[in-house]
Amino acid sequence: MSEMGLFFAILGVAFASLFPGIGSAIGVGIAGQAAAGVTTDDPTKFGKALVLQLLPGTQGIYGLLIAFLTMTNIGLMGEQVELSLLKGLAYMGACLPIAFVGLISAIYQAKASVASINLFSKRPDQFGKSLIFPAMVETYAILALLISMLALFSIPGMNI
Amino acid sequence: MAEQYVYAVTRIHYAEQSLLSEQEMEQLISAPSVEEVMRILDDKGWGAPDLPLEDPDTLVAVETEKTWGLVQELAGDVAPFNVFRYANDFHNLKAAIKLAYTANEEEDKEHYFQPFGTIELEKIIKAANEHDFSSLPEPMASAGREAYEVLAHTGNGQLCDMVLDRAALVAIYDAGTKSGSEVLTRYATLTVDAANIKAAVRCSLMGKSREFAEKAIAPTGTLDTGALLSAASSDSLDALYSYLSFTSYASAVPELQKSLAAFERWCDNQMMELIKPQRYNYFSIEPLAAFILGRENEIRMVRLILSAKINHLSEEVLRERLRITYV
Repeated sequence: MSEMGLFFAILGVAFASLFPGIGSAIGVGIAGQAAAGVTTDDPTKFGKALVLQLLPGTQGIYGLLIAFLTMTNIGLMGEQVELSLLKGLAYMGACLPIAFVGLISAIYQAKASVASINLFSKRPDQFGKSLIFPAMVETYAILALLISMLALFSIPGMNI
Repeated sequence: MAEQYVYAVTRIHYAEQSLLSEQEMEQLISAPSVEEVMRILDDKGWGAPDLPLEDPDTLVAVETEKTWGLVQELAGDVAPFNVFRYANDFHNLKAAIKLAYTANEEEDKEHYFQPFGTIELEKIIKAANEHDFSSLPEPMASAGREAYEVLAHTGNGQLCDMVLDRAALVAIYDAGTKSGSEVLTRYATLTVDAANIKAAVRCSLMGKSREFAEKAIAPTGTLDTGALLSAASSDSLDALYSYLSFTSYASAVPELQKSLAAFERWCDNQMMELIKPQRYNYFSIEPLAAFILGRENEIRMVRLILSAKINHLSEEVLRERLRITYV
């Protein structure tokens, strides 16, 4: 078992949990300010504002999922597996899509959420539409999650 | 960091819903009586429980206080909006100097002063009474000193006013252009340029000398002071119109040709058009500045409508003076 391979794989785990987590923390914080603003003036809007506030929080969950899967695959949680340097690097590479897309999409999704919170605070009947705008940003986080997952599932079968 | 204003901006955008729309303004104009105007305003949350119905001045004071109270609560510090308050400071200094010069013994002098300045009233009054303006910040201190000396030597209140009005415009322009905010910069520019254009028009209409115009026109703003001074000291306004037609005030020329009131209306409408995009800005302090301007605009209009209803002026007269609203 290559120690360097394990090192790079764990680096991938760290990236997958760190960056989307940071993005989500920033995003939920920004959207939370807007949610608190609208709830101050109209407490009945708390539930809907909360939904919009939590949207940028999903990237952190996706990052956690990829980190967890990587840890299982490299034998940190369960039975030990043989890990070459190249495989370790491959695991790290698999973690990068969700790491970077998660970080950036969470912050931009939060900005869309803030705008949507303002939209439905003025037009409560348009909550459905206001939900769609930040949800569009989610698409790209899901695409990155998908690629990270597909890559993770393919690596164990690779002969490297 | 722009995100620090997200809470404040969200609440300000929510508060925008209570602003009077053009439709509601139309309702106020069409209202048959002052009582009906007050009833509509009451529905929109205007006034206070014990406010006398037909008192526009008190209503304006109450509503202005509400605006600044909300901004203070949300922004924590109203210093970024000082550019809106300098005019009040200079007005108060003007009043304090004249009261000190005339040794006015009235007990209740409060009605001479404007609230919401950046400097405590007591400090201004003390400076004027003691003829020592060093406790005031610059450029108020030197303007106060000069204005007092002018008044003491000439006894001419108009010259004293001109010194302070010029200084106020310089202070507003400096604060606005240094703020880094597009709304505050454009507000300061429009305020100063409009004041200089109006001064040039008045000087020309009254046949004043170039020397007088130099005292009336502030050497600041985006317009060429030399061109304004030449226009102000000429008998005809054509020179001013032709100069303005090559500036960003070209569309104001037809309004100026109508009247100064029409020009003032054009300026207010320009300001409202300028700040309208701030209704969709969620990440900077500018929507708060836009809200203050939007509120001041509607408070001015409500005052106008109330005064017109009290004095039984026709709806046409009112409509001629009506400005566009922020929302």
